[in-house]
Amino acid sequence: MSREVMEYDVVIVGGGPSGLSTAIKLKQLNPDINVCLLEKASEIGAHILSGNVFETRALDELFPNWKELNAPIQTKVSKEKFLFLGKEKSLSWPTWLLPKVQQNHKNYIISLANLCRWLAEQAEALGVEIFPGFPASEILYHDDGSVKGVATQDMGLDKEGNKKDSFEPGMELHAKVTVFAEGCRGHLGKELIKKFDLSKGKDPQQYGIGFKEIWEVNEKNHEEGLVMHTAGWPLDKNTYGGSFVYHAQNKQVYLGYVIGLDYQNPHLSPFDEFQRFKTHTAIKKMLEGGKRISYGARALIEGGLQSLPKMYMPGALLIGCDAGTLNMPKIKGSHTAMKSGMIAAEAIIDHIKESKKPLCL
Amino acid sequence: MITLKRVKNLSVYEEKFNKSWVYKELHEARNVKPSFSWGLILGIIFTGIDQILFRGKLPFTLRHKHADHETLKMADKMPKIDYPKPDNIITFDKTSSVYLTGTNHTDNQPVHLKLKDPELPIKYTLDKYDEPAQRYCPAGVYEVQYENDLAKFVINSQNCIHCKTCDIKEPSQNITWVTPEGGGGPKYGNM
Repeated sequence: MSREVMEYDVVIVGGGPSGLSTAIKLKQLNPDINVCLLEKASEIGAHILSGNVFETRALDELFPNWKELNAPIQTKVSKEKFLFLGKEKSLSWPTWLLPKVQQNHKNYIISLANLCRWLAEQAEALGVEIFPGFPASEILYHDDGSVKGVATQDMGLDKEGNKKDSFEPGMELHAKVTVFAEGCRGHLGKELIKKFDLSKGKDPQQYGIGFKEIWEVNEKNHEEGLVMHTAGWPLDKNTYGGSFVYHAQNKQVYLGYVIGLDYQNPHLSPFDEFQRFKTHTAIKKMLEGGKRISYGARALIEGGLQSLPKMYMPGALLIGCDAGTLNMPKIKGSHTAMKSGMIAAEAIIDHIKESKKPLCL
Repeated sequence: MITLKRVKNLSVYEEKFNKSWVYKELHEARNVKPSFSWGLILGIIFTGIDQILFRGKLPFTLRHKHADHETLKMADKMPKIDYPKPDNIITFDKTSSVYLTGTNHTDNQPVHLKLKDPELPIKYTLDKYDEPAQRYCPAGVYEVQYENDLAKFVINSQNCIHCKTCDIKEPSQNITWVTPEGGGGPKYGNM
């Protein structure tokens, strides 16, 4: 089967915070480099789901003028709460007794999907070619085993894999460096980790499942800038997890729950734990008279440094949550994902410079 | 196009990563998650010592011992959980929730949730673990249906919201998530 082949300097798989940051940084460092970014969703942002309380550290480095560029980052955290929930009661833990990593007064409540859409605009303005609706489905290798690029999914196959009238073969994208930025448990990242034995000597990876709902609440229950987390009920003491409640703009509350996927009881239903959590008096009174407008869920990667695989292999890099750069106690991964993407860009540019030097024997 | 020989060794990436603030941050955070394998109370006490007193600088690293697909205990050894019915005001069922994700996949395409052994869910996982895919999937993709007392494992792949939980948690690693046709999956707005 012949597929169309396109050649790039760098191909990036995934239009989340890490992949977009790589694309932008590459173009900032070298406007002549040609960069293509593939995204499986119909548009950038449509598969992004995150809390999100955002630390701007990486963005400050990438775009020091992000405020002038109208980045969708407006709601500064104004108040914090941490509650231990019992079945009926709740105990408020003083914020000053929280570890520094869990203090958020310099951070912002944002929609990560909207931030990604904005990052994609910046990337396109710099000349990055972004292809939404094209999932990378296959890794291509050179004869020597190094990564050559990726192929996109064929279109128009039926249930049995036969070609329909609408069949269109996928494209091959070849690159000097392919950057995998699929997010947590990327299916190509998983293949690379196995093929190149990247987790050798590392601890088993740890994951969680995160739920999020967006609610429009009654004005009297809304406190823009409030960030609240809870631990305890309805989970038993051996199940790792907790909730987040972020009061964003326009009377919206981002409400969510994360449960460690190392739970032991096969009868546990993460979805139903989240639903039950909302019936706690402390939460229910905030939601009453409000309306749920969005729902979603996504696995997240929690193993941290012990489980972080080797992130480079011949011809390719693994970045962001595809590798596992999330900071679990901070409950944040966007700034670390972005920074890992920016470092990837710097490494690629350095490497290109090195490769251009004449060989000294 | 920039001309260069094929890039063979990108180890410079990890060298830079290990010198960056990301590494420092992750290093200080490393002991928190594994300490919660001792339970909530001990996890909190340890985290207080580790994060407040020592600011993540304790001279040892706790390990993660098990992959998530290895942690489930047998269904008959663990308590059943009686979840309250949704009231459709504060709490909802999966069907109405999935509707809000806007997820869709073109009809008549290969199922993008692949079973290594198609018999395993009914022959093994249902008996040992009461087929937990029915519960860990947040979108109701997996169902066990009964026809004339015969159990059948059903995959409603069009409901999938690409969360990857099944690929992680399935106790025998029997489910592999692959990409569906382009543009499929949820249509999140400002998530």
